[in-house]
Formats: sequence, C-alpha cells, structure tokens
Amino acid sequence: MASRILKHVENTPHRLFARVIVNDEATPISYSALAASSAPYAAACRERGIGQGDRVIILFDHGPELLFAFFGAMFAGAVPTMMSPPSPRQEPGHFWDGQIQVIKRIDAKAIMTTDRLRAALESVLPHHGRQVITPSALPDTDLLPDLEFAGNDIAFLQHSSGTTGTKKGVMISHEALLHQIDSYAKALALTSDDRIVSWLPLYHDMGLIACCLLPVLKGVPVTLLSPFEWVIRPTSLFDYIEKTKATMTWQPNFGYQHIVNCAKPGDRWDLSSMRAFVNCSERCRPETINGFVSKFADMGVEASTVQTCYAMAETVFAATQSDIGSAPRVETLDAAALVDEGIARPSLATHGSTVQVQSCGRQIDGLTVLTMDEDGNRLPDRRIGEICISGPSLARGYDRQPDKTDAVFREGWYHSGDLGYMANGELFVTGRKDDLLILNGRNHYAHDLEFALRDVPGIIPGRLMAMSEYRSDIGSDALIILAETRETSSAALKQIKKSIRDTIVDETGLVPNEVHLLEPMWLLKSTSGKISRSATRHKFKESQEFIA
Amino acid sequence: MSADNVFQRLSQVISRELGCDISDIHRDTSADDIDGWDSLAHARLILKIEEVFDLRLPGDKLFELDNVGDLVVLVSDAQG
Repeated sequence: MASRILKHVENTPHRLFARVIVNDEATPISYSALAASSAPYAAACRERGIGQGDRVIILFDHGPELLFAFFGAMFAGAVPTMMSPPSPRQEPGHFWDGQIQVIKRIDAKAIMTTDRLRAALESVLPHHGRQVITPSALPDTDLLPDLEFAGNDIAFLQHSSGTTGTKKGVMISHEALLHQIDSYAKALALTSDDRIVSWLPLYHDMGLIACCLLPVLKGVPVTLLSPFEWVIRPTSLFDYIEKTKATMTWQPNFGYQHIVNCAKPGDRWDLSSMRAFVNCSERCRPETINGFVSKFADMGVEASTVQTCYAMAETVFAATQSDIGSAPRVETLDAAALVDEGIARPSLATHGSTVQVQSCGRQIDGLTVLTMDEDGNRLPDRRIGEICISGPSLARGYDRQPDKTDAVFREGWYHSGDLGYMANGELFVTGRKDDLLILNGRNHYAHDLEFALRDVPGIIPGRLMAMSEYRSDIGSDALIILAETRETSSAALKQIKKSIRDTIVDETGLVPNEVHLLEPMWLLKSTSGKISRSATRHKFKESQEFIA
Repeated sequence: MSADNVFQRLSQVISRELGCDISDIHRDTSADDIDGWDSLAHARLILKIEEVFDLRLPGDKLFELDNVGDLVVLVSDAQG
C-alpha cells in the first residue's frame, strides 16, 4: 500500500488528497504534504525502535494529524489501529479502562495522540508503560523511511465498536486491502474525476476504507467533515457536496434519516453532481431511501443515485454493491413464509402481512457471497441462511484472539452471523443470527450491555435483557432495556430507571431509547434456563404491561 | 423574554420532541435523565428550538451543555 501512495506522491505531488474541515475551516492536503507531514510520525517510531509488525494506537480527534499519524505509523512498517476518541457523555474511567484492555491485548508498543488526550490517559493510568508520540514533540524531518512490505504483512487493525471486553482487532493484510480497493473501485466505476465527501469517523471501517484509503489509493479527492459537527448540523454534508461538486458519499441508513429529519423547509442545495449516495453498515431500509429521494428529488437526487452495499471489516469492507446508475431492487415478501419457513417468497398480496427487503446488490469481483444452513451446506436462492463470504479480501482473523477467529473464519469462509438470502445473484439481508445489536451503524452485543448492568441496585440479578427494535423515525434500531424488579414504589422505580440509563451511558456512551421495569418472572426463559431472546421479544411486542 | 419564560417554552419543546412528561423536566435535568436523548435527538431538538425561538444557536456550545438550565442560558444569550 505504501508504495502505491508513494507513486502518487512522485507522479502527482500537488494533487489534492484530502480537504479536512474543522469548524468550517478547510485544510487541504496534497500527496506531497501527506508524505512530508507523515514523515515525522514515521521517524518518531523508528527513533523508538518501533517498526515492522509493532501495533500502534492512533487516538486523535477529527483533523489532519489523525491522517498523518495513521500513515506515518504505516510508513514506519508498524501496524496502526484507529481508536475512537472519548465521547463527552461516557464516564472517562470506563473509556480509558476499555482503551487499556485493547492496548494490553494487542500489546501496543506506542500510542499516537494529542497532548490533551495524553494528559487524560495519564491522569487515569500514569504507569501505562507505552511510548507516547504527540504532534508537539516530533522529529524535524520530511523524509520517509525506505521500506518494503510483503503482501501478507498486516497493514492495519480495524477494531470493532463493541464494548470493552469484546472489541476485536480485525487484521487486514496489504494484499487483502489492495484487492478490496481495486475490486470495489471497479464495482463503483470510480474514476479520477470523482470527488468524495464524508462525515464518517475514520475509526469506523466505512470511514477508513471507503472515505480515506479508497480515495488515497485511487487519486480521488475527499472532503472529510467532523462526525461531531455533522451530528448537530447534518445538512453540512449537502453544503460540501454543493461546494465541491462531489459525486459520492457513504453513510449508514440512520444518516439519511437524520438529514431528512433535520433539513428545514426552504433549505436548498444543488445535489445534481452526485452519482452515488451509498447506504451501508446497517440494514438498508426502503422507506428511508424513498423518504430521502422524495424529500430531495427537486435538488437532483434520483432513485438511481441512492445505492446500497453490504460490508464488514472482516472482508476489509464491501462484499456486495448495487449496480451504479440503477435503483437497487426492493422485494415484497410473504412475512409468514419468511419467519415460519425461512423462505423469501415474493408476495403480490394487497392484504395480509408482507415485509419489504432491500437488495444490497451483487458480490464484488473476486469475492463469493452465499448463504449456508447450520450444517454448512450452501442454500439455494430464496432460502434464508447465514451469509458467508470467501475470497482474497478476507481478513487474517482477529489479532491475538484465535478462538474468536476460529469461530467465524472456517475453511476459507467468513461466517458473518447475518441472515439473508440470494436471488438472481443479488443479496438481501433480513436479520441477525446472534444477539448483535446494530445501533446507528455500530455493533454492540446485547450480552455486553447486560453485563454492564449486573450491579444496578434494585434489578433482580440476571433478570434483564437488552434488545433493539427498528424505528422508522430515526432510521435505525432503538435500544430497549427490559429489567425485572421487586420494587414497587414510584420513587424506587424512578431511581432504578435512572441507574440503568446512567450505567449504560457511563460504560458505553450509548443512550437507551426505552427502559422498562417488569414484575418478577416477566422475562421468558428457555429450557436451558437462559433468557429466551426471541420469546421475550415476541412477548414485548404483544404486551405493554410494564410496572414502570 | 425572561429566563423563566424561556424555561417554560423550552420544557414544552423538549417534552413534545422527546415524548417525555413535562413534569420530569427541571433546570437540573440532564440528557441522561430522559430516555432517548442521544446526540441525534439533541440535533433534532436544537433545530426545533431554533425554529420556535427564531434564532440560531452557536454550534460549538451545543455539546457543552450539562443540563436544561444551561440550555436556558444559551437561548437567553442568543436572544440578546
């Protein structure tokens, strides 16, 4: 990867790589500036004996230094991994505990961060024993080390968003990354005339791959907005699409809904330059896409410009992509056949229960995407099964977690845990096999959230469940906490709900959308004595008999 | 508009936008006290407040608010 970037530096040094926006101020970065500003970070690594294969944590707020540190570590031969900076709402102790667990597990040799975050880390953990590299104390050089990489060397680790104990570092090799970039660029029909705008955080695989590494390797300029600033002013994405005449952007389903919710009547933008608004990283919902298209149709958004993609870090990024230039298909299915028989049977019924499922497009070149039953047999079209992927973009597994690697990377296939079906070469995603909750494009396991709540006073031990339900008004799943209690006074119930909310926010940074307290024995157990998630979810939908 | 009036109107907007009981909203109420008051809901709420009060709030202050009382001060300052 480094040699491909250096070719751009040599051939087109003044070409724009990225324009980084902070507080509406743009910092343009050319390829030569990227190399020159990454060099001090690479030199800082080499001075400290950090090189080939050493893990380096990259912990920065949005800004140019984040890019320089990441590429600098890579140019030094090290293995960088981007971590999310602290959320303002998460309790700092919990945040740093989580970081330390990851730092220890991957045996990180160094942390590249700001002076502010260094001070915060060292106030919590003064003796962390890692080298710290900050922008204020870098060597004065603009020369990059001359290194050769083997294709199967690890280029970087992509950490999943799970809570502390379950973060997994996906090992991405140089060859897997380059295969993904070439194959995905072909699926997108990407050219050097394209221009990308993104607000996605770079610690998320969609942000890093689609909106940083794809542009830098393909010579496509990208404008990077702050995720923090985008949340509060989501239509800033449109401001920069218009300003830069952008052609492509990526965001999860909730991002499209958030823009629809926040665009004011009378607001107008020229969005006619866009050829792909890609919807990815959580279930793509037809109603969200339709709402987005209809709201902005007179500004240049057409059904054929909203695209879908199925992606995950374990395949570097994209496994499938809808056909650029055509509106992705939506199928209307018989809901009973889907749930009871595991068959995606198209329904023409005008009455009865139906469900709409959005196509995620076709497998990208070099990858094979199919569904398997529980015995590992390939399923025919329209049979619901686990979505599995094989091919040269597959990751090398999870760093220093062989058990977790072996559980999902088996015989050349990545077993995603997602459920879906194939139809005429197109993939349709219908749900999850396990208790993974996908909230605003980020993954969290229900059992982690339940573990976080284990000591909340007033909850009957072990009698609680975290679940999610899709809500069209937010375009994503809402987080719902169900917990049994023996308390009955309104003051005690109010306090328990507050403790549940505070604990989830402090430990994870997530905010529950609903907290419901239940009388003892409300939650349903399976024959093995565990809470039955599916039966309890069904009861929750049917009954609203909560005590608070 | 007095700070009390700003608080009362803000309470109505928060209650309507977040679907919570207006009696649960006090000056020391924080986002963590209300179900679903996450960063996306905060953005929608700010837009609604700007519409109702016909003003624009400074973007850099919007994530520094500790509670509803801080929001009252921010809106009052923006009204001039």
